[in-house]
Amino acid sequence: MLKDITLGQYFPGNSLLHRLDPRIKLLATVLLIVIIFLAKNMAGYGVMILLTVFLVALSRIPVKTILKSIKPLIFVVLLTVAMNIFFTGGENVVLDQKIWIIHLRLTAEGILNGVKMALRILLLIVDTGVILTYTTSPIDLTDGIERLLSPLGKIGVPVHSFAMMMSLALRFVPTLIEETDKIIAAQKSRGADFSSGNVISRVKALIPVLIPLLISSFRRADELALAMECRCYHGGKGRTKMKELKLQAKDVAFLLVLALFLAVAFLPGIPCSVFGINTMNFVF
Amino acid sequence: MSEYAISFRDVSYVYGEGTPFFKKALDHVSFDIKEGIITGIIGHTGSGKSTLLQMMNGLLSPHKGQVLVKGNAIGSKALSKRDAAFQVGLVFQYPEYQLFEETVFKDIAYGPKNKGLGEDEIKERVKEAIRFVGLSEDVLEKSPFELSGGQKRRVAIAGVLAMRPEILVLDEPAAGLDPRGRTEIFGNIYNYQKRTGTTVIIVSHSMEDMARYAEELAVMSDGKLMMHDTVRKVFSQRDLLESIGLDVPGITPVIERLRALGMPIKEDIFTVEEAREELLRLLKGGSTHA
Repeated sequence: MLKDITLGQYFPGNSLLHRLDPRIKLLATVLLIVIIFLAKNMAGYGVMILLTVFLVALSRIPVKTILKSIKPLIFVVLLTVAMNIFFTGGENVVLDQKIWIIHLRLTAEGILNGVKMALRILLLIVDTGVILTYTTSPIDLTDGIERLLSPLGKIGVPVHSFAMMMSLALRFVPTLIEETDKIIAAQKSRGADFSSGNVISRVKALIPVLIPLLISSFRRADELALAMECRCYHGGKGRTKMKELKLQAKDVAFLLVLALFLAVAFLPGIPCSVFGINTMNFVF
Repeated sequence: MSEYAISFRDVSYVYGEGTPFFKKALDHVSFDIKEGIITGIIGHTGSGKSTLLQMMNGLLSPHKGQVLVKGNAIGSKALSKRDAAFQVGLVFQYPEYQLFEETVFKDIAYGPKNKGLGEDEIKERVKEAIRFVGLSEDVLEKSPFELSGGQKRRVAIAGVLAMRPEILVLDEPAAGLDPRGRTEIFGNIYNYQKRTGTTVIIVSHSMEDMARYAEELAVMSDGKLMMHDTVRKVFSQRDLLESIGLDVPGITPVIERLRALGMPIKEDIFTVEEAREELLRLLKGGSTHA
């Protein structure tokens, strides 16, 4: 049941995107996010959709898996669309009617805005998923973050501890999910009922799951700290890596191609520019 | 009414269909577990034992086939999944990690309470259950987290016994306990079965324990049922067991070796007690039949 959540879960494979340097993928993700927010008109979104389709094909992640990751966020998307449709003013009124006490006023601008917002969120999810979370193992990801942030270490930011905490947290997500499943199964075997009754009794039904989970988390943390100390772990000072990250030609090429492709569409001086700073409306 | 406690009818189950984590956990498994005896399930790690167990009380539903409890299919009108959970008591591996209440009493009472029993009835059952697992009533008012590992395990098992299931299923009930704890837990379960006549199903990695306490054995390998027979017949197939990464009890090769050396000792001895009796008989000069 809980195992079916695929959002932000690594999907093992051997595509070009899987093999890229995590630092490059992090940078590419930031680049894409910025660009998505800069899309000026429908042509801009069109370019981004094409690019996304291309990236999905490159990652060789099944489309079904990607669609599944969108599913839990459909509600957020729909809410954003509704907000934009109903609260954007405009000239071209499509519908102006009073139903009971609600005054409905739909404008072409509002609808267009709603569609843009929906596209924006969906592109964000798919792009970060394909480039980062699906194709990068958590270990590579934190490794990349640690290296990218390492300059901050010079001004006293504990970059290594931060990266270690993150990788440990990520590493225990599947463990905790598995543990939760197990405890739910055990309490169900004792006749626990999680799916009937009102809200209060349902929340109460979770106590027999949460307490054992909490206790076992503390136990795990304790055991892990001990195991790390036994192996002489004492922070990042003088620590070497088994897998040194090294930029390769394909990494640089990927980033360059991406940057070039976007620059052509982005540069304001170029007449066919489809991106710009003039429409900065954010997802609320 | 069926004479079988639990029946598997051509049951298949797969994990993670359509992902790289795809795994066939059960592959067309069919067999019947007899009522009123202890049946052991043995198999290598990942052979499908745990999946099999979780199907017995409706936690997992087979992708193909049917699981019947006393002749009624789980999930049918005659037997809902929740009813199946009450009829078939399942004790998971390391069950002490499911304890959560402030006192041992409250924790054991959790199952009976879910069953909707009255307070007096619950009290009686909790006391009975704590006796069955060999603990004194003094622990009832303690916090389960103050107890030792072995005691926690017993409390957790008592929590399932207090529901008075018609069929008791245990996954590695003695895992991680010292030899004395092992013997005690298995002894408790054995006596409980003898006294109440409950059908008991135990998964264990210890062939010695299986030889001592089980009557029949089901052998799983790679999601398939390899054998289901009396303990004696299963353990006489040493080659087959070894080919799927299992073994016979430790005493059996010793007896075989003694036979090979010309000692007139009888075949198929699977427990140390049996071996001791046979050797004593021989030493007293009872070797006339050879």
